Amino acid sequence: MNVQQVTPFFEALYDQTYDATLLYLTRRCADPTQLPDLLQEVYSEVYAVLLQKGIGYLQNPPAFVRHVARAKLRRFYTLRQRLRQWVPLQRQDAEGELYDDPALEQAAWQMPQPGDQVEEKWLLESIAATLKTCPPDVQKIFICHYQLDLTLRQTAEALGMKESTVKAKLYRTLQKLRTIYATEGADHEGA
Amino acid sequence: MKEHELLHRAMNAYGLDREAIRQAARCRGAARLHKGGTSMKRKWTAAAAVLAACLCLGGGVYAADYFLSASEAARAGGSDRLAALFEGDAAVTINQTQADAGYTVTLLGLTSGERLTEYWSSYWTEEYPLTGRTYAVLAVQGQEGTEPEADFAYENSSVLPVITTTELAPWQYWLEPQRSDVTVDGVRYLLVGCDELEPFADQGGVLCLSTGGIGWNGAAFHYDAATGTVTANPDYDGVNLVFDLPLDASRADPDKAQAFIEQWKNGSPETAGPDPTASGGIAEATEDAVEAAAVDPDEIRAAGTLRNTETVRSTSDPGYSGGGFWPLPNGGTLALGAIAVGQTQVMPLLAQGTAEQATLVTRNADDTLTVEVYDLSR
Repeated sequence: MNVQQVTPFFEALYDQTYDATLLYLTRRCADPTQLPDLLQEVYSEVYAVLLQKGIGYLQNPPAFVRHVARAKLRRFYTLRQRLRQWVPLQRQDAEGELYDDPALEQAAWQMPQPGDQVEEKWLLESIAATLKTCPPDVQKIFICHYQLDLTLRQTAEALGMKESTVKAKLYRTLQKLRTIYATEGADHEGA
Repeated sequence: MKEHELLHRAMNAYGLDREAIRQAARCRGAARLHKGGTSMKRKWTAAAAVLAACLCLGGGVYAADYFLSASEAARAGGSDRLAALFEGDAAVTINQTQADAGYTVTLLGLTSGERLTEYWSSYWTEEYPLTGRTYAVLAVQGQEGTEPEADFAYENSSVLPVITTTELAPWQYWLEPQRSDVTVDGVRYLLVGCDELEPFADQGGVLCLSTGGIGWNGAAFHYDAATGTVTANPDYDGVNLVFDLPLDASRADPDKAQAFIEQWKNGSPETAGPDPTASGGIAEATEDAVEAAAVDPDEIRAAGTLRNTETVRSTSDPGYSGGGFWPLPNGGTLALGAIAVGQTQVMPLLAQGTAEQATLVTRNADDTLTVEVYDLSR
């Protein structure tokens, strides 16, 4: 194992594949809050293989990353289902369309209002904590649009939704998040 | 801040911090290679591999989990006996991290035990046995890939144990500090020891770490005589950090602690006069120093008559433990680390017949010292 050689190679591979891996996992995972763990699992596996086998071992490194991501996702879902921790926050109506459970959504917004002086770190954590209580598809929309910087159209295509649905869910969530950071005077995007 | 930028940054708080995930993946990936195994050698190798993987490109701030442990650092420094102390019942894992002046310093652990070296104890009177020792390990890492060796060399950095007491200032006692450093994969581990601190556990103690000199660094730290506490000077340019030591108060020994303090006040058997409280005794000299430190220099200038002013340059003497110093006109010396640039100190007053003489010293930007001598009427 030659850490001095492997690490720069891994760094480059990470930068090259991170966005695609995050998008791949976002589209397929049930609970987006598990994405950080999943990403760590994928890339730690890749790094371990590189350390053990060397950088010449992989013929197509990006494809290998995708392979590991697929395997991790499969194993993660199996584990989660066994543990019965997957609690969907959406209901299905008679036509099979998913809709947000208003009771669950209402509970998600019981956040204490910050005082006039709030530190940025607290603000970001509050936003993140609130986002984690949103339905999974809303979280995925935010990940695609604000983390991966996809347009709303690209986000809709990636997640298999209608663009109008993405917009509605995004803007409705933004309205609620703005009650948290409105005191900071952040410039709002057009609604 | 634009809303899009705010929400983008919120995704980091959500857990999708790209850099944090990268570093964690490297460390977890390296650790995977060495799962299992019980020998100390393999554990040390695994730890070093994790550390190497995490620090390969330098930079960043890493969790203490990816440093060597205190015992591993001791073993890396060549002391299996010290490593065993850090694995014993008295050992405390601390992992307290602070950052300052481009460095991250983590206090990894604390322990106490037998005297492992022939290091002289400050408890020198023959009727009492040599005391045990308290040991600590700190990990120093440059935040931007900076190698810590230059700023944390033995001759220009200090790790000083300080007791929380109002009876003596930190420069008025000596806990026989010792230090041995070892660098592993860019992290400098400071293995420090001193006379046991446990007798003072109910009063508390800290470790003062600073760059720019050895011994007590008056420019880097402020001692509050009213509370006995030490704080770091926020305007100090170098590294100056104060680490609280989690001493077990149940192991305090007030009688033994007081015996230490009395011994420090009275001086050693070799140097103490027949009555340490008599005029000219060491106890009075230390009291004079404390008294002088409390006087406002402007009061001296207003009340006294300037006798002479001179500017002296610093010098160094290999035989002087403090490194660089300024020679004073009265034959005394002032260590480089004892005064900050721009600061004026009042030296202990000297009796000159029916009058007293006061000396003010001011450190200039070019590291010269301006010495003003004033005559004061008694």
